[in-house]
Amino acid sequence: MYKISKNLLNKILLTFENFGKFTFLISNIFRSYNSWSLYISHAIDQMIMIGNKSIPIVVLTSFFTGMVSSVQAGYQMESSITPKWVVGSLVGETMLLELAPVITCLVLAGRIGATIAAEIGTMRVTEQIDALESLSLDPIAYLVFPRILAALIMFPVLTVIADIFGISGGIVAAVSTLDIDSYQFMKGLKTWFKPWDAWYGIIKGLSFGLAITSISCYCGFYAKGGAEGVGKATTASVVNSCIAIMILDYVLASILL
Amino acid sequence: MIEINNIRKSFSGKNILNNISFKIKKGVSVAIIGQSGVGKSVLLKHLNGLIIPDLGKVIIDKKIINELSFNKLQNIRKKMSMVFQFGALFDSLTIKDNILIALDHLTKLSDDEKKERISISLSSVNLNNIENLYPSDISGGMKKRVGIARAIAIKPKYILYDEPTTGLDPITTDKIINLMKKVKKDNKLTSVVVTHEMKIVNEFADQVIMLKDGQVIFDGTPNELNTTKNKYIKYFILGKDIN
Repeated sequence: MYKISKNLLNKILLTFENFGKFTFLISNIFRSYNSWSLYISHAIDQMIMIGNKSIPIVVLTSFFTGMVSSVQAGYQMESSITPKWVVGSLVGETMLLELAPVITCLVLAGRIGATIAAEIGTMRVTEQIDALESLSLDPIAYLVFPRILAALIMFPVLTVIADIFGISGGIVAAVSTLDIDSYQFMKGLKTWFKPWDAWYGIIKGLSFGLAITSISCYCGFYAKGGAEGVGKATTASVVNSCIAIMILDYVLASILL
Repeated sequence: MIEINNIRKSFSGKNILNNISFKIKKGVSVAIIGQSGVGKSVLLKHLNGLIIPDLGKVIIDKKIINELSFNKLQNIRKKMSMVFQFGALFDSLTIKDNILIALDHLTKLSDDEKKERISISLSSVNLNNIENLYPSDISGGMKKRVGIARAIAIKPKYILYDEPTTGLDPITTDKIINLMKKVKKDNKLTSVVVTHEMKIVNEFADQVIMLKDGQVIFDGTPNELNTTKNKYIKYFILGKDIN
């Protein structure tokens, strides 16, 4: 019993310690604000890594998610008296409000989060971060700031791309497998559409992106113990990013809707 | 001048450094020796603020660096360079850019001057025509030499070496030692080197500090080290138990 209590207490203390270190890391982005201009070029490289190189996977996942939503909505309507154009409304709203930002960011937590944690973690265990510091460069400004800036810009863009391709996938599935033409689908889409729904999805994408990059930078930055440590940091970044996305999803829905 | 005053450092409750004190005068080369895991690299990283002591003071040029703010510490670091055990070159940058990143940040040289400085630094470590290669394209010994080139390119006042010859063959070890001697002579640097290599102690160092159980057990010249009657030190130097 004593051992269990002690382990539990240690875990609680470790959680607080990690939260403190996370806050320290993120707040220290601002300590070298006067040299941010030096790191803008790195931010552009990161925008290419986070944004451009993620487009194929975002397009693929959102397109198929839209198709599945459309088929499942059609299946639900099969024997009901609800008009078929409601499929367009359902697909549009679910994609804009939930599926495009959440599915996209869960996929990107794996792609972007793992990459960031592995890159920074490898730099930590091979003393490259120490080398940056010894050259009097601020490693947080050099490594964390460009990635977070790139995420703030690119995640909303990727969310919009996911919205477009998700709805397109919905139309393709509706036309090809359900007895709904594109005019009916678009009618349904417009009927329930409110501009705020699109903004809400973008805000979610931005928040999830910020969570993924900051958590991944944190996991990589404090990696220790060689290759095994980098592996653990990478796993932790993906798992914690996914948990953060789920929690934020509920919090944002409660606050914004 | 570097002064270490009663520093203590522990990790996860384990005492690594316990009341360490010594002074390093300007222009002197110091070798820090001791068994593996005794805390030599931890001590070295205290000198440029990469590790902050739990207690005690690290004084560089009359400034207590463990009490400085981040930005003021950065100004102290501009006078120091560090050569890491495995080079610590940035994987994503070419050899040229690995040196350029230091010059961009720490100097106000023109592009042509930076180019010339990179070329001179690489030539001084006997490396030519490798500017556009990546660290993954070169050998371990070459990485260490590029690490030295990066360190001297910014013309520091102090240079710290962390086990510069570990894992190298005898010929490359000799080349690195000769290079360190040349760098010391040409730039009149204060050097601190963490090593197990007695050749570095005898050929490069003016002062030797030996650590055991987190404490300094010897602080003197290489001659004094070689003529000591302390059995443990003799065991370390000769590599065999004389009892």
